[in-house]
Amino acid sequence: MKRDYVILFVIFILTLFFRAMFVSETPYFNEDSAYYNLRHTDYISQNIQPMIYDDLSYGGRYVIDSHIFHLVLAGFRSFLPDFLVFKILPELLFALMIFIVYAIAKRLTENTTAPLLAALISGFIPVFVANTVNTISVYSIVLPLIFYQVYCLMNIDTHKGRFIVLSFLLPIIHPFTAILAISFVFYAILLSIESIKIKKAAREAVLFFVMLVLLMGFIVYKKAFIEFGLYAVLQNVPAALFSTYFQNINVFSLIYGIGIIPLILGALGIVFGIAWERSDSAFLLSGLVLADFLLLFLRLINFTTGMIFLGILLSILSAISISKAISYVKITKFARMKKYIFVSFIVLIILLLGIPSYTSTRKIMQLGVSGEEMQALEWIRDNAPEDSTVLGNIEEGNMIADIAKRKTVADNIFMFAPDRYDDVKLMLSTESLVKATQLMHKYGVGYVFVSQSTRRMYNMEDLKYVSEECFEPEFEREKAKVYKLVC
Amino acid sequence: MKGKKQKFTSLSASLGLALALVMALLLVMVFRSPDSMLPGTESYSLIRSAVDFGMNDNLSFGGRFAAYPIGARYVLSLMPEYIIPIMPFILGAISFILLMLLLKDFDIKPKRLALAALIASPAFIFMFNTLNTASFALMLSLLGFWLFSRKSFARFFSIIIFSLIPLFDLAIGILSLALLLFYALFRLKHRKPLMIASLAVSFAVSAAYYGYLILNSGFERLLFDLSPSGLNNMLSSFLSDLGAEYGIGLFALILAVFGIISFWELKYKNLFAFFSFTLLLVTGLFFSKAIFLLNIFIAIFAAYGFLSIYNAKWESAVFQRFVLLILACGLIFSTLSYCQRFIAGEPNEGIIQGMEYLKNLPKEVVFSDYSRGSWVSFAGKKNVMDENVWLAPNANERWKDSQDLFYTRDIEKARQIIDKYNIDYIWLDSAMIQKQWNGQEEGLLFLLKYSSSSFKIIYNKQGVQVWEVVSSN
Repeated sequence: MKRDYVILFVIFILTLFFRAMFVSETPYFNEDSAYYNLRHTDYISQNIQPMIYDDLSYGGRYVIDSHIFHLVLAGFRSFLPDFLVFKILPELLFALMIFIVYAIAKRLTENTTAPLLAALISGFIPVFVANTVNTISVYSIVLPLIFYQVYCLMNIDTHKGRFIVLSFLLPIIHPFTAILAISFVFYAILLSIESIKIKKAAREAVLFFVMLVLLMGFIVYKKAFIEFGLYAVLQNVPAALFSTYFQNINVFSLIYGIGIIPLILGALGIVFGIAWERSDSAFLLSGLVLADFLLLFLRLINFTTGMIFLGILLSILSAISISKAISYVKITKFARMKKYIFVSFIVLIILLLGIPSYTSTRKIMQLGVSGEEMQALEWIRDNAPEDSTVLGNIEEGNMIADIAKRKTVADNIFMFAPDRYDDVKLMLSTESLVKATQLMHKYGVGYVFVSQSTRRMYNMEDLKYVSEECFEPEFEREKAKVYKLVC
Repeated sequence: MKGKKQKFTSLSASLGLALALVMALLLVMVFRSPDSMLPGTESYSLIRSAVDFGMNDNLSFGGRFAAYPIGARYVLSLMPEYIIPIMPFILGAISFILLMLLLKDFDIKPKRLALAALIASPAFIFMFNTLNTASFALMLSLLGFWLFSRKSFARFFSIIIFSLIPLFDLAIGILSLALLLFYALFRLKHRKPLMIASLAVSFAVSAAYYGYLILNSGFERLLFDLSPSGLNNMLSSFLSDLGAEYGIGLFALILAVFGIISFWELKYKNLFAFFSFTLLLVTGLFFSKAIFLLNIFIAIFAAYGFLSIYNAKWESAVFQRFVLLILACGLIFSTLSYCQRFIAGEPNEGIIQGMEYLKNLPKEVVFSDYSRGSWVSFAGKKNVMDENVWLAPNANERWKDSQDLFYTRDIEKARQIIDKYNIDYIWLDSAMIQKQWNGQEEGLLFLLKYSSSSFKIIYNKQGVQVWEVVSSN
């Protein structure tokens, strides 16, 4: 047992090291949302209260956020250096998933090796690693807590208190928790279809959780539900952007993103768990898979988030298949070669999960914000008038607000924001100087920030309509430009 | 000692209920700004047509045959003007008492809980805080059912009552008759002849009155739909928590589901309740007025639901208490959230002041969105279109022309439509602008902004704009 914990700890250190290796390469962050979280944490640190009205986003708007994550970060910041809080802490929280995966897998299989392998697999799911490394993401606390809540439900007799506390916390932290409520409903339905009697305590816990999530959801997002109806769950994402979320999805991206090992072993795990073992926990995890599929199918959750969630689930379910395989090998002549088989499996994990994780993370890191782009934003911060508005692409709005400290035309937090997606796209990609300047005047744009990401997004080298009489290049580097609107 | 204590508790519960009823019925009077009058639009068209009672309406659709249900208008026309504003309260109180008597007849055990759930429901609050035809019809419907179940001679009066309901509100009338059918088929089986007589007289009266209306106004199938379509819109007009003007509270619905589950084993004994509930639920998704009747069934089932959770044996008392608490909080939250929205609802002070201004203008015809039509005619001006589109003259043509005028940037085309309906003024308000147009220079907004030779702004206060059409001659 002690040896298992040592191995588990080694896996945790390995995962954390893998993540930290990328983080230490750059002082910047990969995703725009990181700057949103950074800015709000900064605000709380300085003002000891969350930001209710944001002067910069969309030129000024109310913020719909519970700020729990920002409060947590601000709390840590009061006694830890920024590098540890913003760079290492999110990676540590994501790496902690290893322990939760292990605990659930252990509960699922009662085997010693399979849960360790499942934990190892979960640490190196390409889509998970690539999209969560070097970001300050609320999912760093949401995902571990969601899976811990699942664990608590599996052990409701001993974990009732923790289950109740988390039930109150989770819906406030992030609306993604709704996936858990839907999963629990699926779990109950699956068990009833199979005529398996759900444990009374679990049934009561599920009812309590679902009701609480509903109530909290309607209290926190009351205004959104009244204004948008059920579409509130889409968070007001512009239709044009929404359709691009699910554009480049195919079987290969699925296999590459999740990894062939968790995909096959996880799918087999569902079959073994439901059909053969008829295990209560397997039904619960299958309910989670179903809910994830349903929300992905209905496009109610972001594709990447859905895939990350699915990847973790499949890695947990892999434990069942691995456990079955181990038991089978034991009764065959291959039992003598079990060490070789084990080593081969580890090698396979490295080849099919470790390397893809590394390459896809490396790719995302390369596409991240560059030093020159940061210099451009710092130039705006130091030289542009304080009340000026900066135009950048929609995926850079939060970064502009955080680094340049200037008003933005739009960003990717769409709830209760005016729909400016098409206008931003037009201003950055049109060939018509008249159209672009008309819109820029409408939004009071003073500066245009052209980054590598904008160039890639609109497939261009520079703004197509730039003319000397209207745009003065104020900052010019290979990877970033800042234009001042003068006409 | 114990009996005395129980009696005291029961008395306090009844007093609490009465207090809650008074609060729910006086919501608008107490909390809404005295300058803002009643929320909604129907109150205004009813008050106007009651004051100016007759078979011709000179203001709606520029002048039309008054092809509306006559009941509420007639009753209101008989009342002194100072009684009209308190009519919703009177109707609410009578309906509540009738429902209480009916629940006693039906031997509903959690009677007080059901009544409390009803009082707290958004549909009840809306119904009895505004003047509307449905509140008259619902009160009559409850009276009809109560009379129908009497053993005395009074039961024969139910025939008259049921035949009157369609004259007050056709939708509630039809649904009440359907419920009466279920009632006599599944519950009071020995009253089938009375039910048949009630149905026959009701159909005869309805056919005579509505036939007369159709003969005089002509029938035109509407080629447009004022109620929004699609699943989200359907749910948004069904559930108050999703933004319905008057809808069912989500948590009341959840409790009702628990109630239905607890009753499921006795379904064959309660066929009336299950058939009525199903009919109203399905109809309520498509025709919002069915929600008023459905609301009563929801309240009763919700009370049973609450009781079933309370009485069930739970393994964990903590979860049980929490679930009950969450559901109670949900009910309260739904109610408070709705009340807040309802009290702040349109028309706001800006619109009321705009209506006052409109009243004093010399010319006659005002163009606006159909949803503003009732306010326009309440201000004594002719509208191009309002919400009473059923049996309205040239409704399809007027709808098309209105849409064309809203979205054209061609001044010639706009002029043609303006001349066709002799439009003198254009009414805009901020909510209407937000609903109708995406940009500030779209369609008619563009013309108003840039065609100063054709339009002149004469009023611009608190989000309301009145534009005068400058004569082309």
